[in-house]
Amino acid sequence: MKRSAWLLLLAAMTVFAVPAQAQRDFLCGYTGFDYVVQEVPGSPIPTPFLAIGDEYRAVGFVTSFSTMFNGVVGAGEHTYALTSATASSVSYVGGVLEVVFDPHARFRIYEDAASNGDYGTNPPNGTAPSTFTDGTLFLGADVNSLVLVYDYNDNSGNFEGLATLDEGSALWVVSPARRAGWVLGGQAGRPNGSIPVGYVNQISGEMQIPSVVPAAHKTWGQIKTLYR
Amino acid sequence: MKRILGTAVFLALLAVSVVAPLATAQCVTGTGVNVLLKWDGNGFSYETGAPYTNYISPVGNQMGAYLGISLFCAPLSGLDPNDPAKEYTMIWQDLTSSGTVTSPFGASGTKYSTLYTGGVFAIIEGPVNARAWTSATVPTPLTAAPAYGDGSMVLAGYIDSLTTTITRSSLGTVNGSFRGKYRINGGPLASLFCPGGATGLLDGLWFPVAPPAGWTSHLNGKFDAPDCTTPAKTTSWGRIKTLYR
Repeated sequence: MKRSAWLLLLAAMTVFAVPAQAQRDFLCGYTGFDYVVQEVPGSPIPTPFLAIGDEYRAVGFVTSFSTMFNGVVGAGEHTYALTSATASSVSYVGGVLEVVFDPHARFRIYEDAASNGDYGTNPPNGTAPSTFTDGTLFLGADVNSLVLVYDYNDNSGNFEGLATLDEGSALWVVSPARRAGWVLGGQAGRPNGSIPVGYVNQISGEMQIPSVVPAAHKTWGQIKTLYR
Repeated sequence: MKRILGTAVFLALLAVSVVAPLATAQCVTGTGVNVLLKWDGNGFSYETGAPYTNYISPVGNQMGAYLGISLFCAPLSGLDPNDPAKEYTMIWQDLTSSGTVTSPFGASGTKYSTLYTGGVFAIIEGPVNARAWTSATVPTPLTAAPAYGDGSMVLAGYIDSLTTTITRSSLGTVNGSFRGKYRINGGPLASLFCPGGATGLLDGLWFPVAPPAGWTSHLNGKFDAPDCTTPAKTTSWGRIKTLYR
């Protein structure tokens, strides 16, 4: 009995002793623009720019890769597309937009010899997202816990999600043990003269594993408030 | 021996290489101006003065940053950020903190806003020794500074104001962004820009969670080209004539 209790205690200590820290790592940096496919078509870019049921999308270029992809990254352009991010909860209080998305958004990177990425205007259009999703699927990830915040008082915001790499011609480069836990981050800000007409924000982001996964304690009441 | 040396040099170059961005495709012009330059995983801020803790910058602290540039657009498109023989870095310094203001954010989150003023920046062309750094590999600011700062300055100016906004959302996620104004005023490439120190936008991601040792955040962002358009407004012939009477 005593031995079982010690074993149980040891097992519990092992579970709770798992460090909140993971090894810091960088996968890729990207730039681009986001847009919204509204569930209920309305004005081009309403305030707030996301409502429940809307799909948040982004397209753009990968501007740098981790050196782990040296020799694997080919010539041509490397583009990305964020899709299937459907807003499941929207809070807009005091000019602050907080959006929670359904699970399983998808982030994909493509390698394309055509070098034809073209944002155009008022997406989706004849060139976006199509010229950002052509070529070979280089790397793809399932994105969960995606949250976007945007402060209209400061004209700035950010988004963040947890990505698990699960597809693409370069997936083999990342060992199975390192495929989960990537933080997909970004920035969204306007007014901004470099944003093409019809896109909402300019994005400057990356996929990385910080050394600590951010978390905060919340009561059930606070969590429930988000969904009311 | 020569062959071994050659292989070593090749491998060293490979180790610091990044994907060459297609400048023409990325240097988009939106409703007004185009992106001037960008940096990605290689960008870090630090503060001197009182300790910076829990996203709070004490009043009077001096903030600076070291960045490895990954993209140039017009009128700097003649510079190659992936040139195997040289790299382009940027240094910010003397940004004085006005102190961090903490306020409620959204349903139950917290916002940490800090205004920095009076800063300067310089773009340096130098030997390739800082390009490959990311959050995973960058050394402490004191060790990294010489590698970012060696070479010759090609462009410089002021960062008149810069605001960092860190948010802890109601769901507990922590992330941030920055936004500011810069002005070009010196360096051999300053003549490529409109005279008079036109201002431009700088903004990007400000990731404050668990920064590398000695740094306060990892930043990833861009400078837009200065807006050189001459301000104009609609008026009547009568009003114009009045100006000359």
